[in-house]
Amino acid sequence: MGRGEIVFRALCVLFFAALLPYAWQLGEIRRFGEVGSGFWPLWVLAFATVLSLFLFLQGLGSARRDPRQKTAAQPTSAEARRCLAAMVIVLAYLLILPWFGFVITTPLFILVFMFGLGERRVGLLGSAPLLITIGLFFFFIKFIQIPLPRGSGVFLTFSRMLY
Amino acid sequence: MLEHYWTALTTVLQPVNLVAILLGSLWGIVAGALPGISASMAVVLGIPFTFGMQPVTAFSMLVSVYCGAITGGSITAILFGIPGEPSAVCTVVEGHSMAKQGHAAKAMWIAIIASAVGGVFSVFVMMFATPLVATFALAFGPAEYFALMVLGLSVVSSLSGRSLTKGFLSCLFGLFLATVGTDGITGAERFTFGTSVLLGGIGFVIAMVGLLAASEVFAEAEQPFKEKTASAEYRGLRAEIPRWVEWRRHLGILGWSSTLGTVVGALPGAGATIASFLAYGEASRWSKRPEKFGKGAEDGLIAAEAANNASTGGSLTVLLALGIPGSNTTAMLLGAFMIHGLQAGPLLLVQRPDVVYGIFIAALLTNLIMILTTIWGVRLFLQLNRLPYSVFASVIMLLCVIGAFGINNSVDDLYVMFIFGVIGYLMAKFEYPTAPAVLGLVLGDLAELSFRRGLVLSQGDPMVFVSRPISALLLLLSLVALFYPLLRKRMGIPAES
Amino acid sequence: MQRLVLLLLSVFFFALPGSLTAAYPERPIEIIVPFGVGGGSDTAARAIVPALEKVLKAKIVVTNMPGGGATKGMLHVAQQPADGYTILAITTSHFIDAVKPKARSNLLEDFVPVARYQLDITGVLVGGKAPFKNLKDLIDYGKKNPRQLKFAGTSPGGWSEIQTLSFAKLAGIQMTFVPYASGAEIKAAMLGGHIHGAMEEVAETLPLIKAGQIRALAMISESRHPALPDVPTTVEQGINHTKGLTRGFAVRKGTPPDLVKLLADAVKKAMEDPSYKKFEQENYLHIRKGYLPLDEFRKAWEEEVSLYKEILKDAGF
Repeated sequence: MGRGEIVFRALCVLFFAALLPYAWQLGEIRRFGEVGSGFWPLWVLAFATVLSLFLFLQGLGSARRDPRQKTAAQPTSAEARRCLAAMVIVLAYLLILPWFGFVITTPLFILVFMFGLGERRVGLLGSAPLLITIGLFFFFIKFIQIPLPRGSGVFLTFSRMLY
Repeated sequence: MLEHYWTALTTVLQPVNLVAILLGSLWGIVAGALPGISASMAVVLGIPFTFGMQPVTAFSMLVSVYCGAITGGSITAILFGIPGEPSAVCTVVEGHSMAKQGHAAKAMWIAIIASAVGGVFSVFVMMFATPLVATFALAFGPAEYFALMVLGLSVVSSLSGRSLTKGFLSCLFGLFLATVGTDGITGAERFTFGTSVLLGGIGFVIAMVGLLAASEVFAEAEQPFKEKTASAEYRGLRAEIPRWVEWRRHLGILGWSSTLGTVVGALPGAGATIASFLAYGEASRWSKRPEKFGKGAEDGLIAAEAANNASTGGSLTVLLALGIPGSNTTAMLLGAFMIHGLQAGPLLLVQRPDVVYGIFIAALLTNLIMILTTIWGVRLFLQLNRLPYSVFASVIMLLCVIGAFGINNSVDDLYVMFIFGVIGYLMAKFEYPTAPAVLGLVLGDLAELSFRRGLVLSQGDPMVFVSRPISALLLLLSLVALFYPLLRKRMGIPAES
Repeated sequence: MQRLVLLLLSVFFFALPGSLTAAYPERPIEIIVPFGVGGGSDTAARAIVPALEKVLKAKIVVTNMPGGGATKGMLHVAQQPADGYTILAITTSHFIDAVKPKARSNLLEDFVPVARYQLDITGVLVGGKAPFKNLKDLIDYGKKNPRQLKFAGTSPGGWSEIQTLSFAKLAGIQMTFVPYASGAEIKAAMLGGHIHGAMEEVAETLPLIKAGQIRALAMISESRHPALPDVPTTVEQGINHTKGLTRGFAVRKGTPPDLVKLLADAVKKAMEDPSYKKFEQENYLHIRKGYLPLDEFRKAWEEEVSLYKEILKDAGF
């Protein structure tokens, strides 16, 4: 079992255990006759803590017995890097989206995301971002009328001219 | 009654109505296949087009949008492993596995046939057994709802894959997520930590899009650059036209799932998603090849698709009989009734038999026409396979983003979706199945609230859950279901490989 | 070229909301409905919009932002510029929220009223199989069996619970409130006999009442409901409770007063439009005077807020 997996199992235990006290606090809120807001989450979290602890200890045990044994396929560092890059690009897009608006950020996102996935064909990098954005704009914003983020300030004014 | 059907048939067969049904089901299939547009949204978007139409034409179209959307969800689920509709989660589990093994066309055919059979079955129930279904649905109080949800949750053992422990943990995670937000019984805020982001709870469509779709894009990003989209090997639909011999052995599951789907669809608050999970779980228990579940089991795919389409008829039954919408989408239809000056309820059948019988016939026709329109939809979405991979991945990611935003028009939901994308990626990496988490999230809310509602009604007496016959029976079944895989293992029958 | 100059100008003057009022409305106005598509509040807003568009000569977009018991949409509007282009559709839930200690945005402090356009009527409904033939049966049963009367509603600590509790208090009985997730589930539970009844706005339930599957025992109102002339009112029965569900519009505090006035007048005119009148009549929303502009609406807000404060305190929220 790889170190990553042990860490993940430990994080699971921490997540569920850390929420237990919050569930406990909710216990006082209830209607006449019923079990209250805290009952269900408390039991769910308690079971989850026990199960995740079991998995964690089991993982530790098997790691000690045979440290080289791998249960899950571990990504190589190059794979992990590529995947992390994809996540960072998406997160960055979602973070700037409310400020600069859908119309401006989306072609940028597509361009960077495609590049991040290893795309190097210049023609494609030049055309796809614009075409996809235009397609999504007409289908989702104009036709289906989803008010995708317009941005703020100057960008809001710009978006407002379009939708 | 017969002459009503005759009049309705001649009305619906008029070209204008046929065109409405055709267009409606085409739109439904496209909308259903896109993860950004839910069935109810598809119907809402169709309503303005019905202004000025005759009521029969209008509702023929809207009903075909509804049925089309539920079927359309299976297209992207099978081809790309991305559920276009929440009700297609089980379809992803089995159908996409089949596609990965090179049986995409076969899986698609199974989904199409099972959907059509489930849909047609439920329409017949709607035509001839409306009072029966309505009575049965009304007999369901909180205790019965709770027991039904427990039965649904017991599917977890068959959704778990290699490790039962991990499956249960994943399901508990989903159950916990369902408790986040404003408590439906006391109104207290739970696990919101003072922010407004989680006030409305974690929308399960948003979590599902992240867990199942965005995570897939992240996982694929690990691979070195691919020029082309790695399309599932697709031998063309014609080569895989299903044969009667193959289908004969599935008839039992087909019938049982259609029945279950119709009944669950009739329960307000339940719906296509819960119906498909329940039928899938039942199929995993009674299937002769349970070891294939999770790895491309035809039985599982049939059960899920038959049930989610059968739920449309069940939902329409209570809508037409009582004016009570059994799902979000039928709630939209109720609104459309009002716009057209009709009042759905017990008197509609007396006042406007032409509309009610027209809807029956239109629903029947839709489910048949859909065999053709779905094939068209498959061809359309296969075109996505032709895109260079980098473009394809960007489009899928943007559909996830737009889909997550469109539910509540809220930017906060985008971050929720992203976080679930990362969680889903990690879970897949460390071999924690994600389907049980979706199961817990979908059923958890109704399970908890029905449980507590039952106690409010009984003033704290827990005996309600076992003293009522339907509830007791369902709970007993779930107990059996939960331990059945363990027993089978003990008895030496291979349940897991 | 001219458009470009205008655009640049508008960019520069963006920070000065007042400077744009001369041309108001020069772009689409957005109405935020803090509830889901298809609900009562959404249907009402969408019904008045076409008429409002005609009066204001501008496009109006209805956006649904459900979540957190009407809070999410309200927060969104509170964060938009106070320029009159983002309008919040409000209901009685917002008055009740203003009382709660944990409120994230307070209607009384962060918003100014535009106008009320509907005052809906609640009915006391029971299932067709319930043993109560009239209000007296119900109250007698309630007096003999405290807490045994089970009435359902959709929002715990919100409008339907408060309406139920206020009625029970004035009728001198103790009821058990059973929260459900939607009106559909409540109707099914009433028909199936799992609960005794519910306090609900009657428009949507009329078909079931007419078919005899649900019985209306009383209307919480001063005057009888034209669609149900045989059903007595609470006032006739000696219960002095006539509150109904308010639907109206509000804008962010700081919006120029002349603009708010313009909007209030527009709502009044829109309500006289035949398309909206037809909707009102079909759904029996015209029985009580709906329109209440600006300061009068504000007075109604404050009255209701103080009333709900008391009821919530009694109920222990």
